[in-house]
Amino acid sequence: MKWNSSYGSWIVLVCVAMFFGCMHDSFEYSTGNYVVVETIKTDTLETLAGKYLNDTGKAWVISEFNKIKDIKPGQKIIVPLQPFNIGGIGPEGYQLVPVLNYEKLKPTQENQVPEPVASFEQQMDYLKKNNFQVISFTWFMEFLNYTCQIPEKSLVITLDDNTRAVMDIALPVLEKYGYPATLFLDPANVGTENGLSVEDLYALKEKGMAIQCRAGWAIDADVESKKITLNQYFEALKKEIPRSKAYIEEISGSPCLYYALPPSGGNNLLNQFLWKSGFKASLTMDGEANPFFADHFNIERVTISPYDSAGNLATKLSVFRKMELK
Amino acid sequence: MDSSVPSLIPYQLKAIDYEKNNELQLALTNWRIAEALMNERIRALTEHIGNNAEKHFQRGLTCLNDGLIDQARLEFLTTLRYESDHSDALKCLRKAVNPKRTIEYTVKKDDSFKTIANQVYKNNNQNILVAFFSGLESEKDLVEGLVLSLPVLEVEFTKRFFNYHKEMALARKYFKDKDFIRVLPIAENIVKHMPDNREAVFMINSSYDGLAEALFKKQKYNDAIDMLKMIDPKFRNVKPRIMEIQGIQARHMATDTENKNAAHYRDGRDFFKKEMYIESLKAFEYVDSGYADVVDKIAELNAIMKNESEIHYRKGVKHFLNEKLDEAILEWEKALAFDPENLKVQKDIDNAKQLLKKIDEIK
Repeated sequence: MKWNSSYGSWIVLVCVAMFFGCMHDSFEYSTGNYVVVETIKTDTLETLAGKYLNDTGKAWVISEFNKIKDIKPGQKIIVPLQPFNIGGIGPEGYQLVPVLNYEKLKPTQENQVPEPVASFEQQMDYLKKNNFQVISFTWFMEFLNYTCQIPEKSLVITLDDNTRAVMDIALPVLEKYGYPATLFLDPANVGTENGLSVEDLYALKEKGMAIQCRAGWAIDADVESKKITLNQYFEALKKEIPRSKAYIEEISGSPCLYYALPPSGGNNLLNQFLWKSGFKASLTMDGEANPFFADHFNIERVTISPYDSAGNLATKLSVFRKMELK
Repeated sequence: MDSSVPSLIPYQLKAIDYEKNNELQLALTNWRIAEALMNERIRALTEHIGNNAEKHFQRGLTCLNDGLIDQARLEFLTTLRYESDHSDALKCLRKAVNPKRTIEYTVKKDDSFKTIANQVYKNNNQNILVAFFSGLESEKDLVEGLVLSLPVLEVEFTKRFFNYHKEMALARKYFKDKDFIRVLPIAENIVKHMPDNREAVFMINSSYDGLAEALFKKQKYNDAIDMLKMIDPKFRNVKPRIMEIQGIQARHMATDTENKNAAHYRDGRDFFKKEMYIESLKAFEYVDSGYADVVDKIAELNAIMKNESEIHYRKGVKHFLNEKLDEAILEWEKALAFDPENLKVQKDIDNAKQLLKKIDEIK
């Protein structure tokens, strides 16, 4: 798809719409990539998305293309049938996607802060009220692959917490808001005290939560203390990663493609090993929001505390980088 | 954009007007003019967009070559804004912002995983990385001309590990300088990570041996033996050497004793000649009782000193009777020095001192 040809088609369509709009109460005109419609009373963004894009969830496509929040009868609306801005690039800059990382859902003495704070549910509510679109990790990966357009205020939710708090705190709220999330699991934590059980994992899978792999931190600690050689580290990777991948694939019943890196961050050997082992991406523990051209094997995440207030949360949700692209 | 293309809107409006007035041929003519102008405008706009995309792409390439990464990123992003499917711009953008992940290595004749590891990582031991990332089942599959894609190892990352080559180079340097104290911790660390490393094992045992010999030369026999005991019996049987040192130590101890007795006896005799009996007795008392006639010498000295003590005591009594208390005390103190255990003399000194004190008070 070329931007210039689509732009040309758009001019033609507007002209045609102007002309026909003078002659008819309502009409429908389509080219290969666009449909021009004059709305009637019963039309909504969702109904139009359902009719022309076969998915009511794609109302945002019509909204963003026409730069409108809702529609009124008699409006001339253009429905793009193909992505019109894959990387979220515009003259003022480009789109960013924050990948939120909830490492500890339940307050602990270490991360407790004294001021009043928002709960996980209040944070999700903030996202909803401020029109953030929580997208699945898979969809986000298509954005990074430059094959798919996503809503302007998109973000991703990931959970590094491997405790029962996922069941008790996150799952009910995510279900309530209909938000997809991905759990990054270290198999060594399964079945431990306060850890998620195998039954919990099956329940999460049933509820639609994606389960992916998280680094065991023991290797990382050995590296930090210079206890091992590079070859010993590599042997440990060869032993640990395929085992974790296989375990998660067995539990989740789907491919394990994404790997949450240890706290010290990634390194090229680990990332190349992951790539060679069939992983498609790795994620850091902490960082900033990602543009479409972000490194697949160092996707940055924004660590969110359950104590982050709405104001604090807002500062972490950067969805656009201003940069004059003219 | 080419602004020379006239606006098509007047022709559209005229066409609509002609249609309303049923002047259909004129309407059609105006619609055709409008259509031609629109096609021309689309062509000009398409060309303008394409030119802009190419201009920014070329600028991006120049920036990339000059290492101006931020500027290159901006130019490639601008290219993609104009032409979203500019695959070269996308490729260059990713190349500009993402680190180089792999090294391409072309296999040469007679290459092995070790030689490749040495070429790429300057480390034979990282042959396991070459083996894994080559994807080959066997070293025999290393065909000349085959291109391997091997991971780049960041310097900061490799620094986090125990570095065999660096450690071994250091150990070798110290070993060559016979600085065994420094060799040991390094070589022992190498063996901790690589228990089968023969060179490090050799260095450890040889270092203990070297340290033992140095201590032996300093006549620190026990420490030397302790060092020898650290040597792995499989490396060298140190028992004969330990026994040898123990023998030398015993003989040395005997020689030491002989020398010591002779020296003190000589001192005692010299003091005796100078009539320095107290010093002479002290010197003879250091001599082992079995040495020469030391027992007799001590007995003779004791007798002389008793006699001397008696002489000074009597002088003291004489002074006392003449009421010369100060002189009396002086003599008695000399008597006491020759016979320190003589309680009577000590008592007389005390009495004389008290008397002297009372006289002073009366005065």
